[in-house]
Amino acid sequence: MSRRATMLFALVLAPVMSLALSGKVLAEEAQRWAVNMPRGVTPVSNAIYDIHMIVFWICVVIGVVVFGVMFYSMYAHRKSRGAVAANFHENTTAEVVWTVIPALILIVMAIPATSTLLDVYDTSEAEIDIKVTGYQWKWQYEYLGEDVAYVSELATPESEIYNTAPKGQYYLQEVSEPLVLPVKTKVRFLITAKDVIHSWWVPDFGVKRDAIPGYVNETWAYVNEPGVYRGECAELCGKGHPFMPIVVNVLEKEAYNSWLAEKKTEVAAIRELTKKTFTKDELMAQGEEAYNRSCSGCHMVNGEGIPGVFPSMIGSTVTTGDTINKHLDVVVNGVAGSAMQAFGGQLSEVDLAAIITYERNAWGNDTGDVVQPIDVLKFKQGQ
Amino acid sequence: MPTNPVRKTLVKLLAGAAGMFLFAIFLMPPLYDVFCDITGIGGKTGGPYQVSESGVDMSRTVKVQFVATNNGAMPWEFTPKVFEVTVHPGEPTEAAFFAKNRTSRDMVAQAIPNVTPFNAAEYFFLLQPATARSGCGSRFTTGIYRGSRSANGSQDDNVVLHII
Amino acid sequence: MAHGPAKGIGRWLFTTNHKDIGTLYLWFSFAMFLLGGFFAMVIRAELFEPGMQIIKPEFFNQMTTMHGLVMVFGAIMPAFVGLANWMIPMMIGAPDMALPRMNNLSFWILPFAFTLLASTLFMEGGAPNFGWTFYAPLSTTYAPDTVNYFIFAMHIMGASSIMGSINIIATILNMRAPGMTLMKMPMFVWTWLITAFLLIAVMPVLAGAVTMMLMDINFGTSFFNAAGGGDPVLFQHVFWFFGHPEVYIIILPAFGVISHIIPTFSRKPLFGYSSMVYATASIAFLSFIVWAHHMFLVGMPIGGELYFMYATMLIAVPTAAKVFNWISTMFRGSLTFETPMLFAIAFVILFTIGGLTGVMVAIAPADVQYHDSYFVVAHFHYVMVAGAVFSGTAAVYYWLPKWCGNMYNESMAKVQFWVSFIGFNVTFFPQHFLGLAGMPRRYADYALQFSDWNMVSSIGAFTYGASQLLFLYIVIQAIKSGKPVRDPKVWEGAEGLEWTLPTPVPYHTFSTPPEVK
Repeated sequence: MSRRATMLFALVLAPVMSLALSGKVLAEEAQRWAVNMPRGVTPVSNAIYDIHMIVFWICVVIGVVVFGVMFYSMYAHRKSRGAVAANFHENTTAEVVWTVIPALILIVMAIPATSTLLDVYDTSEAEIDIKVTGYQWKWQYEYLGEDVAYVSELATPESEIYNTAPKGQYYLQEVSEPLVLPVKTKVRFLITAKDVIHSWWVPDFGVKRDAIPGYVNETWAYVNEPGVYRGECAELCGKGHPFMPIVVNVLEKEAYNSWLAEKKTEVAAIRELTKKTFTKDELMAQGEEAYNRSCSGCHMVNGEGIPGVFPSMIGSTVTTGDTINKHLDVVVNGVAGSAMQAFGGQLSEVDLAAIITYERNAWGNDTGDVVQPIDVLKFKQGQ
Repeated sequence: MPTNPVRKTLVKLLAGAAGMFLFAIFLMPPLYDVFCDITGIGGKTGGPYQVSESGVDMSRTVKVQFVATNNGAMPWEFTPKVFEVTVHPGEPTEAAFFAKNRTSRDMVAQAIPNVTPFNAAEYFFLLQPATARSGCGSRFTTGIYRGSRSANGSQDDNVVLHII
Repeated sequence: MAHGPAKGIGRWLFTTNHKDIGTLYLWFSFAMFLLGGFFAMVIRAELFEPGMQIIKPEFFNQMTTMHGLVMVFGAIMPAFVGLANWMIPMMIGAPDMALPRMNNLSFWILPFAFTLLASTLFMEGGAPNFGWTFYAPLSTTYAPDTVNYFIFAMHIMGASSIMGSINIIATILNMRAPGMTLMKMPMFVWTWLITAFLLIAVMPVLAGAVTMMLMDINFGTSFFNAAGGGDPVLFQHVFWFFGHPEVYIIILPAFGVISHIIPTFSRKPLFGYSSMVYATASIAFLSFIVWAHHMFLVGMPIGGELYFMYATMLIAVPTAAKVFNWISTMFRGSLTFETPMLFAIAFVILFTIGGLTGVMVAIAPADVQYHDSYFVVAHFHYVMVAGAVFSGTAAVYYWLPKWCGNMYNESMAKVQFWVSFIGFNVTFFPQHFLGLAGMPRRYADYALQFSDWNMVSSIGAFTYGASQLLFLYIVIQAIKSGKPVRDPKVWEGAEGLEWTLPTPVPYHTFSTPPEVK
């Protein structure tokens, strides 16, 4: 091959190879080629692991015995080996035996299965209650009785998903704000959803429960070891289904208490920020980040949306019309009967103001409008 | 001429198919509702309140927690005013929810209750279903739930009432 | 009296002949199998590496949905209806099906329904994207506009199945040759008789579910909407009340085929004929009372959960009995391993593996980790592909010489078997690992630790896909230029009325019923 061609070939191949390799190299840290369920870090996850292994080994033995007989027959009773067919075609004793024995094996399995299930269902005497709400496409966590609530969204940038940037180690398993829990504390989860059915799954906890709009489901976990545990949404919920992971940060009890105290003061701090006046540049920067995090899932990073499904932001009457109030109404209150949620209750006034400012000026919209957090607050209060 | 046996089979099977379709549409939903009502499965509260004469059981307490969730496109502010109450079974207690219509238009909203654990659901009764409410900035009680004393002494002491 | 078939396209449009209609169903189902398989290739190509390389997530959801719908309702069910049409009249000594004109209608509405369904891919909003199980409210409030076409297509397909089942029952109950009592019927006829009753019982329930969806979407009802006093979980109950018997509808005729092939190539009668009949009937009955094992995580109370766990585990008993009966048929037979037998043996092994993972997912506490993960995807592909599809493939190799009078190329067919077998296992065995490691199903993209097994699985899928194109070639080559077979028995060990007819079978057979001893 000519020198030029070789260089061209290498130039094309290099990014492909490095992309392929970088992901793989980083995945060394994670569990590559895993073949089994994790034991996990809760008593329930361990109980589930144990029953899984018991049933698995019983099935392996059954398979070996049954296939063994069949393979033997395939060898010994071949016509090419001179086998002549026998004539028997029924045997009541055999039928009874191979009906009773499987039934007994099943009963043996059912006993530990029953006690493990009773464990899974026992949510009594929890110390902490966390409400988990599934949204398209993020989770909201509320520490009941503590006045702390926040949204937890995918933090992996779109560039990594669409292969214009190398994938980080926790690709698709990193979030804006993890759920934080104390170790060795029985935590009860109350699980529901805002829109469609989702499902909250953390394999290391042995916890999975459907999040059904209009229902509250309960489940629980008692985590034995501090650490970071990652989970997934486990019920098809639309196009963001693979993009709403769960990250739980389990801390020692003291660290958890300080975290909780700090979180409460953070709520007060955000209320203070609402009174501040920001520059257009500050709002645009914050708005771009908040938009990409909370809005681009439907309306796309380029603002184009999906024709017929999610409206475009570019040059629309809402984002470039004269009345900013219409834009505020759509963002704060949502649009009834559509998939556009009411973000007024989900995001802070600062984020809302930044997003609206960004939407009114990005992608060539250039209205020059600037919306301050106090404007959003006034809109909410004075409607 | 004797009836064609094939035709007899055809008619019977068509009737069977039609019957299963009607069963699915007209019988399955109500059966499901009745089953949920009787067993409390799914957390649906009991029907109209039946007065219980047994009075208040002072020997034990039940902890009832309240949470509220809005449907995704619902712009109202809707929260429980108190997260948790501890009551004696049969003791009248009021726990209010705060609801505010943030828009400038009149709206009618409905709140649906759901109780967990399920076996507690039959002891909760919706006295005043929240139906019409319009205007802005008003606070109101969505419904009064009275826990009645359970006949055999419920084991559960921790109940969550969820309103959507 | 008998005259040959009509000429030209009119023959196929207006035929009331069960052999012609069987042929139509089989070609249609194979075309649908290739279409559904193409969707699978798109899925596995996208899942080859982490990241979105080829399609967008919203289109991926359309692919997984359409793959499921086309394979279940367009490929596997019509394939076995086609086999029923071809074989049942000949197996019972009847001249045709009981209702030949309804038979024609049952077939021809299918291409219409699936053209409608496939065309939604090109409509605005895209094709259905809510999974083949179409749970509400994702499939009602949040569905694309094409959901209404989906509902219409499901109604048509359901009507086709119901009409076909009525035909099958009416034929079997009323048109058996004199002397053929029920307990003398061949197993394929028994399994189809039972399957047809299952279909009549549950297809209308599916129709009910999609009708309730239609009303929620278009007429303001709230069957499945909690805010209106309804319940999304009601949808799941109604759907799975259909859905669980549905999977037995898929597998029972496949069991029937195996019960013909294994005795033929073992040169020994089927072991335990009556037990096989009773086991099939028990499986069918039990299939009605286990549906909520698909719903272990919706928040059922513990009593319900335990009941469904125990009832589900119970189905393993009659199913295991059938496996033991097949192996006992082989045992001390005189075995040869032509391609139909290879597929039948592979069925016994791989379906058993799928059945054993079925026992694992029946264990409700363990299902907390398996539910909605790739472990379940692996389980059902083992029973549906290595089960139903392998059985259907075996049936084609087994009966094709009888239908067209030519033998397929045995060496090529053996190659096709091995490539299918290896390709299938390379595709689906690693999916057990993916599920256990924590990868959910219906995921367009995944975290890095799932990369390796996904790549392996995709390579297996491309291999398996290629082997199906080879199958198409082998079948066409056999029909056009295969070596002629004139022996009525075709296979040395074959028994049954259909093997007393000339090869290839004439257009009209058993115009006079045979005498059955």
